[in-house]
Amino acid sequence: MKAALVISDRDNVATALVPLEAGQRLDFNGGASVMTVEPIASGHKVALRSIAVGEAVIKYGSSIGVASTDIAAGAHVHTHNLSSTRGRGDLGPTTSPSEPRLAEPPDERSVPDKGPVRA
Amino acid sequence: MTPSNGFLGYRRPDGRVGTRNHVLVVPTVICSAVVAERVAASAAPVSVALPHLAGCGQLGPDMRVTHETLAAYCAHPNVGAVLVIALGCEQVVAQMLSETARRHGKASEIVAIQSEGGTVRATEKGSRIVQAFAQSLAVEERVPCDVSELILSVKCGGSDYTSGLASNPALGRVTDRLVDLGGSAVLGEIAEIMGAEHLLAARATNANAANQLIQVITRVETEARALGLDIRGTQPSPGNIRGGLTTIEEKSLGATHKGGERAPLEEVVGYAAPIRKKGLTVMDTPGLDVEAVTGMVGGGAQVVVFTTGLGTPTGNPIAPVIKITGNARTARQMADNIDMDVSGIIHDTETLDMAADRLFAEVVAVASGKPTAAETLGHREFAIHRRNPTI
Repeated sequence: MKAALVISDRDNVATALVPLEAGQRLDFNGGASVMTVEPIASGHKVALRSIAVGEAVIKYGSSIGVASTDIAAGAHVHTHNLSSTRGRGDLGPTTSPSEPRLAEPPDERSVPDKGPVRA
Repeated sequence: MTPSNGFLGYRRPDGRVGTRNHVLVVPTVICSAVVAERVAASAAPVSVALPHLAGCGQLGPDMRVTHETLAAYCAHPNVGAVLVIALGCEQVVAQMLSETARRHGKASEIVAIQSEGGTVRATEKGSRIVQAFAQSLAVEERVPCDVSELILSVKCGGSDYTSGLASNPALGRVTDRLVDLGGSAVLGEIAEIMGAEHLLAARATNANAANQLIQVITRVETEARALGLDIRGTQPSPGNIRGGLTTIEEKSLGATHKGGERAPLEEVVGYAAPIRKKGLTVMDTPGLDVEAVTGMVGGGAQVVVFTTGLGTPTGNPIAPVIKITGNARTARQMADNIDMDVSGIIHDTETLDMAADRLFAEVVAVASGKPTAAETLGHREFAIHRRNPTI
C-alpha cells in the first residue's frame, strides 16, 4: 500500500491513499519528493510544490480550479485554498467562461503521460 | 460465439434484445400510482411498477418529457408486457402508452380507475391481467445474443477519491472494450462533465456531437448564472467534499473516466431519448442519481454499471444496476448493496485491467440473468426529470 498517488506527470498535487502526518516525506517513482507540512486525510490532496494564488491546480493532467491563496509545498489542498472556476453564478457574468473551452489545454493529448506514480 | 462476447437475452419482435422480462405496470399520473404499485405487487418480482409524481399539471416540454419517458419504458426490451393504470381525466394518454407497447410487439392492456369504479375494482382487474401476463412471459426463453447488442449505462454516485482512481477507470476500460466489440455506452450527468468536456469533445466523430456537448454544458452553467447561485452548493456534494473532492472540475475529470479513454463520442441526445448509435452517447440528464439512471434506461440501456465511493442503494424498475466500489470500507460496511469490490486497485493488489476483466464478466453474467444486489433488495427507484414547475 503506497502512501500517496500522482496520477499524471503534469499534476502539482498528489492524492493521499492513507492518513498522512505532518513532516512525512513522500518520494514518488517519477523523482518528485515533498515533505507534508500538516496532517492530510486519506483521499485528500497534498501540494507537490508551492502553488501561487491564481495558479491552476492540476490533477488528472487537467485544471481542477485555481489556488485562492498561496499554497506551500506539502500543504493540504482543499476548499480553503482551491476554488472552482466553473458554474460560478455567485461571481457574476464576467467570471464565467465566455467561450466553450474545446481546445484547452492544447497539449492535453499530445504530451505523453507516464501514468500514475506512487510514493 | 465465445463466452466473452455472448450473453443470454430475450430477443424482441422489434429486433431489440432484453436482459430482463418484466411485466411493467405504468401509472399515467401520480393519482394512479398507488393502484399501480398494488397491482404490480400481485405478480412481483416479475411484475414491476413505475410510480412517479407527474402526468398532470404540466405544460410544453415538461409534459413531453414525462410522456416520452413513460413511452420509452413501455417500448423497452427489458419489458415483455405492459399494463397501463389510468385515472381517466389526466394529461398523459393511456392509449398512446399502450399502443407504443403493442407497436413493439408486447401484450398490453389499460385499466382506468374512474371507469372501473374505484381502487378496489381497478386493483382486482389489474392484478388478474398482470398475473396472466406473467404466466405467458414465464415460458419465454433466453437465447444467445452478442454483446454488441448491449447498451451499457455508466453512472457514478456518492463519489469519493477512490471513484476517480479505481472504479471509474476500471469501468472506463469495460466501456472501451464493449465499444470495441461493437456495443454502445451512454454517459449522462452533464454537470459532472463540466471541466472534462475538452477530453470528450476531442473524441467526437463529428462536429455536431462536439458542439452539442459544449452547448448542453454551457446551458447548465448559464442556468446556475441566471439563478445567481454558486454550483458548489450542490457540486461537489457535501459528502464528496468530505471524501476529498474539492471542485466540480476534479469530480468531473474523475467521473468522465467511466466513459472510457478512447470510445468515440457519436451523439448527444435529450433526456430519455433513444440511443441509436454504436459507440459512446452522452445524454442530457441532471446529476441526481435516480433521474439520471431513469433517463439512460429510458434511452434503451439494458444494463447499468454504477460506481460509488461512499455507497448508495439506487436501482431501477426494469434494468439491473451493478454497484462497484474502490473503497474497501464501503465494500465492507455496505456489503449488501455492493456487487463488486475493486479496492485492490487502491491497495496495489489488483491492476485496473484485472478489475476490468472481472467487471466485464459480471456485466455479461448480469445481462444473462444473474440478479444484482439492487434487484435482490427490491431497489426500483424511478424519477422523471422535471424542468418546469407544476401548474
